[in-house]
Amino acid sequence: MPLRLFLIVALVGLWLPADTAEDPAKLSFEADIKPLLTTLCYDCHGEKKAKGGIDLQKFADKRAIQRGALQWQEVQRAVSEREMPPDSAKRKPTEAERERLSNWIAHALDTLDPEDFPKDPGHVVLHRLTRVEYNNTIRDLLGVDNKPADSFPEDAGGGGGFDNNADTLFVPPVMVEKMLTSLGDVLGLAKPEKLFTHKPVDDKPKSQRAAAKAILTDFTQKAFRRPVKEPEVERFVKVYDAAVKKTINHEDAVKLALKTVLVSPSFLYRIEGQRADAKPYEISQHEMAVRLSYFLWATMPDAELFKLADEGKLHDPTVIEAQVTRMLKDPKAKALGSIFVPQWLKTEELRRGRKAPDSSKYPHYNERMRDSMCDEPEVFFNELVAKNRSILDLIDSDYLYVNEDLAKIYDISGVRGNDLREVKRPDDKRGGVLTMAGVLTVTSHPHRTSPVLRGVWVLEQIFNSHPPPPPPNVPALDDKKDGDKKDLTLRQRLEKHRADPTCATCHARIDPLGFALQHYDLMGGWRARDEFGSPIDANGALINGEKFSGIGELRKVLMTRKAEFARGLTTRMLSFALGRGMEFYDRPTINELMKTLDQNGYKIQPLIIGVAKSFPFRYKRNQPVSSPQEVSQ
Amino acid sequence: MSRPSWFISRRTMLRGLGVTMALPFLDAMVPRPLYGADPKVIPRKGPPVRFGVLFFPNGVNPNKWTPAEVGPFTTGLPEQLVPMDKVKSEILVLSQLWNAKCNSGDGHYFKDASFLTSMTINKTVGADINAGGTSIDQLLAAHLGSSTKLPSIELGIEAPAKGVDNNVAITRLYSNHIAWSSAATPMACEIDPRQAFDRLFREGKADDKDKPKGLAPTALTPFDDKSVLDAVMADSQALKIRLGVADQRKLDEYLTSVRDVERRMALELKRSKEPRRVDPLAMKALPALDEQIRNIGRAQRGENHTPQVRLMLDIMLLAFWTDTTRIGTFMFGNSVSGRNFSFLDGVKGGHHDHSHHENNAEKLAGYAKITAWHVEQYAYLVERMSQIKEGSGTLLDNSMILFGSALRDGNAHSPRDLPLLLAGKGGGTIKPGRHIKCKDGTPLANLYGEIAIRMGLQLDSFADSNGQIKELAG
Repeated sequence: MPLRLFLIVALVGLWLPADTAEDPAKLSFEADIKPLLTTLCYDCHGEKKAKGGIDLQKFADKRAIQRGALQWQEVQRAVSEREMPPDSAKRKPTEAERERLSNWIAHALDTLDPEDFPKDPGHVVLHRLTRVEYNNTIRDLLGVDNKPADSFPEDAGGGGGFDNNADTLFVPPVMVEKMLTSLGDVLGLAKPEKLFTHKPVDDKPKSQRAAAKAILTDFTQKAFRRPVKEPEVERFVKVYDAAVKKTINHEDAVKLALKTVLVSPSFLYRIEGQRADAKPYEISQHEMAVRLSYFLWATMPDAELFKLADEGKLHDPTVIEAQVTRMLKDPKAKALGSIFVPQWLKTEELRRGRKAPDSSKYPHYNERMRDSMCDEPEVFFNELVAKNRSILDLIDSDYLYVNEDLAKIYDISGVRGNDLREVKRPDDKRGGVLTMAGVLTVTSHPHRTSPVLRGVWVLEQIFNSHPPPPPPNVPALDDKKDGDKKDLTLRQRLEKHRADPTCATCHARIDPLGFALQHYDLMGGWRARDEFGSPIDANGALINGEKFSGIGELRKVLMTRKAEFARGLTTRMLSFALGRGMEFYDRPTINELMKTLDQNGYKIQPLIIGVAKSFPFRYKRNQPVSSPQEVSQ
Repeated sequence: MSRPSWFISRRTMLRGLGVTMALPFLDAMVPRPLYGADPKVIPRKGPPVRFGVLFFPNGVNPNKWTPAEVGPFTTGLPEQLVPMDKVKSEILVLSQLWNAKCNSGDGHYFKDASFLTSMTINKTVGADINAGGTSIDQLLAAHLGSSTKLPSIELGIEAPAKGVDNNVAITRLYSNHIAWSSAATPMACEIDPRQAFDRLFREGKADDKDKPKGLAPTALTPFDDKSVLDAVMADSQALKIRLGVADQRKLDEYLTSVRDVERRMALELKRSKEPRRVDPLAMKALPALDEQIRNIGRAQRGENHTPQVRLMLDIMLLAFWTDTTRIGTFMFGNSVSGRNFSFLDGVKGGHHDHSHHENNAEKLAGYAKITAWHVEQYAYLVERMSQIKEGSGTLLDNSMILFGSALRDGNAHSPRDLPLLLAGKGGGTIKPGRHIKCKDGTPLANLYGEIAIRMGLQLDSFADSNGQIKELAG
């Protein structure tokens, strides 16, 4: 076997759960799985007793289990995470049994027959504007760019890992207070022509009121991003009336009514109407305009999108495609890079100061340097989108975007100034996101690099594969038994760690990926020795004892796994576009998008267009399926 | 003399203290409600009692925390408690309390998010956030908070963590909150001292010379914002009918908050007509703190952030002193905080990293120094509160300031024998200056029951509480 192929085969083993994993497709429910369920589960979750209302015995065959996928994915999780059977159970599974059960369930859920399981677009709950979306929308609505939402509590996020996840966007009382305060500022700063779009013909109260109503009608449509009916506008005109009655002058009364519009849930939330239909239905024209603009621009639709929605054209896939292409050319599309990328690659932790190299040791890490580091992947991605490049450039590219600060770290001469620009890479030490200073810094401790953090980052961010959690309450390593650990290098300590069978399975996956990046110091510079003075050893030893070395070989191996990378990126992008976590029923959409990528030379625009034209982006159903507990009743 | 009525010198004792805690619920198959019966507000006389919580993540060095002796501190304190030495007569060390319901799950999120709820969080990446119940501070705020400008304050110092911790498949949202106004509604921490100060103390906009004069500039103006919110409520009700159940629930969150602010405006309007009962010394301290906030910038990365922490503690102190609120929480950091503490001698690197000490002597030493720094900040607040006169005693005498972490040893992540300190006399019902060793396995929720009754709220039970901690009274 040629060495390279051998290496690839060896590395493939990295992502397999274990060397000896059996193929779940070959297992039979009756012969292999049911006996396990009978001895391990049915005693408490069966016909006789159904603790927590959960009866697993009623699922008589594989099909039934697939039909109950929502509940069984919970079962699978509980089994794989050792939550079930509980400590108190009479009989506990061996590790092999646990793995067999968990893998079989996962496989069964993953290979659903489309006839049994109709397409499901999912349901996104009312979507509160994120802080960035709020700022942008105020900017585009009123021409005021004072970022009022910066005073709101930060959005934490969840679901697919992005802060636009609808479920985790809350409105605490303090936010209502701050909205009221900051909207006062916003309306004070707005130019009069933006606010008073209709002038009263004279000073009479009647014509003033007519003007106020006309202003509010226009404004409410824009602010709510949809057509409005008269009774709706009337409610805001009433605010105007009440203010005038309190002897507030015309203009201030209009402002007060405008403020009310902006505090309304129809502005603060992206609201999609409900239809009396049990089946999935296509969202409305204006809802489609809103989804498109918040996905690509993180702001409200522009006049063209509004117009197309008014004309009823946004259900046409060719129109959607043309619009996405147009929108990606707009400067507002930079939002994609500046919002999606830092949350995907985790560089937002640097930007917000949650992580940083130690200032005493790394005084040249200042705010400007931090911004350069954080800008690089965002600019790289935005250029990738603008130039419709291949997503595989994110793994390996022969070009970089650098400014003077970054060029110093990368040892590139002749770059002056603070603007990032495209340069050819001098050698394969750089290229793609893995070797970017921001990524290498955020995956380090303040004082030293961490092969574990970097290894986990590669698994999670590049492959969307999540190493299982360490077992709870890991016993501390006994110092006396290990001897004085100060004499050991980091690598030797990690090797010791892996000698423990509880740690070995995961760390054998994680550590080699991190060691391949050991030539990069805490801020991403190239080094020959680590921070303890030991010469760099960028060799990775795999579970089966095979070795590989350095970034070059690592990247080549990653390239052979491009489908997994594509799946990871696709999953994240769909999740970001929808503002919700992925569910089992999203798998067909993700598979389709991966096919699109494959057919288009992995270019990114077809992926983005594909997301915008995808079933879950254009459709919705009324309510989420009830929680697993409710289903089981 | 125009002293406010509750400054009147009076020795106060809580009536009914200790006889109200009911037996625990029998374990039932159905999810049981968090509280036995409706909490009952017990009107109390005398100065109000305040409840503050200072939470820190990542646990403590378990070898250098608990005093060997039980009772009064006669010999030296363990290393991590040394910074509280000069105020030790004001503080109780509580040992052997634990938070049983968060024993499962992961090492951090389950523990920290339920520190004040004593319940079990729902493990989720985001779709169904649930902390299991309302936290004790928010329960108190809901029942007792209407007598102050704000029912409670939530302060922090660290930017919230984002996204999902895929290592354990839990949304990092849980890491940012100890205060939950309902099981599904976390209370966001104010992490900017300027904003926290303005929200609590700024009336009108006199100070904001840079900002334009807008309409209805302050949050709590009599007519404008009230009318805005009234109209918004009407609009929302009309909208709600058109929505499905899940969307309605989301809109209800919004409506609850709007109603909350609306009610507060109404109360504030009413209160503004009454004479304010604030210690003139406190009124003098306000502009001084305002000035300090202006002078101290935001801490950068590995820099010493002690000044910023102290600003937050000063804000909490003034909020209590001026009776702007009686309930407050402060988070030194979020779950799994990796904040760089190398500004302390002998500490190299991040908090979480140090807490995973693996019994390494160097790491354990650094870990103890980080904890000691936290205790030092706590002692600062306790000392300042003990110097402020109120009635016949001090502000601290009329307070209960809890300091603690939701796990003991950062290497083991167990919520047993939690590191907890309680300062203040709770209105003269607590005798501090001792180490109380509870019976092994005493629920932390028992302490919350004791705190609640001293605040004036009688709970039949709270979470897994099963009795009293009579030793508090001495």
